[in-house]
Amino acid sequence: MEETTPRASPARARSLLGPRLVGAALVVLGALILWQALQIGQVRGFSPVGPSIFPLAIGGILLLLAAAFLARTTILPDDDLAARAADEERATHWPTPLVVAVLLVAYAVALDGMRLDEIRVPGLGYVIATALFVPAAARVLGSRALLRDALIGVVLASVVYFTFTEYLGVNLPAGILDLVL
Amino acid sequence: MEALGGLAGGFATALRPEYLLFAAIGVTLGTLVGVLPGIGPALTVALLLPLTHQFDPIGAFIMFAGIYYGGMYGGSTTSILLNTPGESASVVTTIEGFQMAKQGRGGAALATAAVGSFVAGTISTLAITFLAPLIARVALVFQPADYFALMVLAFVSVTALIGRSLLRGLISLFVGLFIGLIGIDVQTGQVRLTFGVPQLLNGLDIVVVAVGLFAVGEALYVASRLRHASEEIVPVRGRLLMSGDELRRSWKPWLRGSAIGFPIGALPAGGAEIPTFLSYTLERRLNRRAPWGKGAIEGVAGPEAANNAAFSGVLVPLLTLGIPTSATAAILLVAFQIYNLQPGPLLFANSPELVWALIASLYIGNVMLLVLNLPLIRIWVRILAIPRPLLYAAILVFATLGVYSVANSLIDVLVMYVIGVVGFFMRRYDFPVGPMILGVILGPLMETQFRRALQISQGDLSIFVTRPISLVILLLAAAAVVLPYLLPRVVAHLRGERGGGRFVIEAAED
Repeated sequence: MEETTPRASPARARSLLGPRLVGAALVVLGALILWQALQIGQVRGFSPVGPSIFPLAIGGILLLLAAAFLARTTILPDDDLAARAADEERATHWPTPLVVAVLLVAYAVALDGMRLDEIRVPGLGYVIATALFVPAAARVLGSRALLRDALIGVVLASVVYFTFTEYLGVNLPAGILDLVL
Repeated sequence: MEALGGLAGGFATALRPEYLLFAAIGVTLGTLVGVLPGIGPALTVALLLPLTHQFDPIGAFIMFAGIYYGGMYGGSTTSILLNTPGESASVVTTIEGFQMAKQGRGGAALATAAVGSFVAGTISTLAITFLAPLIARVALVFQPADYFALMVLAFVSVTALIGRSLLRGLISLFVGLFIGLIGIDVQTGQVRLTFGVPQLLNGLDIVVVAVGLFAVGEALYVASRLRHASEEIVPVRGRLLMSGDELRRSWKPWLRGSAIGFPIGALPAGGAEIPTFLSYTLERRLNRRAPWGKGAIEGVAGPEAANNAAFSGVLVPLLTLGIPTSATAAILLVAFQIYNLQPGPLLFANSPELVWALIASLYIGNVMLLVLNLPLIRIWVRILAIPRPLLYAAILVFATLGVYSVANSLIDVLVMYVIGVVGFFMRRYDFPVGPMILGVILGPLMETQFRRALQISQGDLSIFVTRPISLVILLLAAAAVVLPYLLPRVVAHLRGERGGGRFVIEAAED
């Protein structure tokens, strides 16, 4: 906030790079919605309003808004947003959220198993996947107490699994523990 | 006095042991998630939605109401002791509250927040009791065109009055409207906006969207900044009571805060944020001698009461019109839909037992929360000491669990993670999440009402401006967009995020 960059300085141009990419993504999204809305069949049903009116309107308006947002990051820069983006950029440690995202996908796959060429590969099951995920995620997020985290992971996984399958009627995958129990 | 009769019946239901238990679970969970930074009542209710199939509706709604109220009580603890507001409506509390905590008067700040919340909650619940049946009766004359206009008003006020940028709010809203339309159109059977993905034919479940945005988005955001952020928890020293002087200085702000908060929440005009700022500014004007900026108790008492009253007020349009005006209310609307209940004027006629038990449980929940928050506050404070890495790992586990238990499918979980990445960037570049959630949930309802209106008028669009009710509501919506530009000083009060306190102080001093 205290960094009052002069107009059109390279520092601000850099800080607006992120918002610009977001703006470009939004323009693409608006265009995609419009394109999809044009594919909707023209069936009217009982109402004078067909199924494509709302999608067309939303896609069109979003495209306009996205263009306006893009303008606010290029021709008419929004200083407030630039300051925020610069502040975020300084504070961000990119590897952490990236590794967390990768861990999450690995967790989901380990939980559920996956399909490879029509063959279903069973997952590790809820308890084991969760007991592994908790200490791993905590570690990435900066925890250094591996033993404590692992213990909490095992307890959390077992309690959740037991409560949900026994008392709440939610089906959670037993995975390879099924062979043991 | 149908209200009193209904309320008596409601208490008879809500005081049954099993429902008292649901209420106790609700307020405890609500306080817990309110205290924990980064998760709030909207996420909690969304996570619990899949489990509610096991419960009867009355028990589920009593629990949800407890979570809703508990979240407000708990939020003040985080603001006062940690200087990080859990949500935009408790931003103002941090200004004086954290100062009080640093001076060792955290106990008094927490006490005035808890008692203020109790006073405001009780006054507002009384107002709901007598106002809601009246509004429900008036709303019987509402037609589709009027509902369409009401939804426009809800969208506009949530988007225009919250957050720092109207443009970013609108983008968030329209992306939400887009997500809401994905899937098969109920009226015509046409496939819409699925991009050829068969899993999207049934649309995106709101649990997937809400959990992705709130839990995963927040966790990724915190992950990106963990190495940067340092936080300071101020321990609560001394008594958890107000002195006689502090009590004398608190009770008027409580009442004034309630009077500001409830009407603004009850109008479909969006959220609890504005009343807190208004209350803070008003108290500054009225108590010039208080030590503003250095821990004035009036600045905690007023906004906390206003916050609580506004949250309760939001239940009025939700129950009587079926129009949610906050993200949490929108998730509650989904809960009603799961049970095939349609909130709106007919809810009081069709499900009186449920509605009155719900309202009665608000009184009960308030009392429970007072007990939970005054003597037991030290326990809640200890929860703030949970190591952040473990806390966020657990949040991710519960997010995955919540979505997995809805669908039992890997695809839904992965979609939820993708929405989480979207939520991360929204958080990063200050796009408000509320309009998106509202868009996802209200968008399809809005389209239905739009179609019905045009069916009645046989395609004549002028129906929206020739019906006096819808015309007035649409004019109000236009005013909500235009007013902030006409009154830049009001904007200075309302806009402004965590640093918002600065704006308020500047505005109040000129």
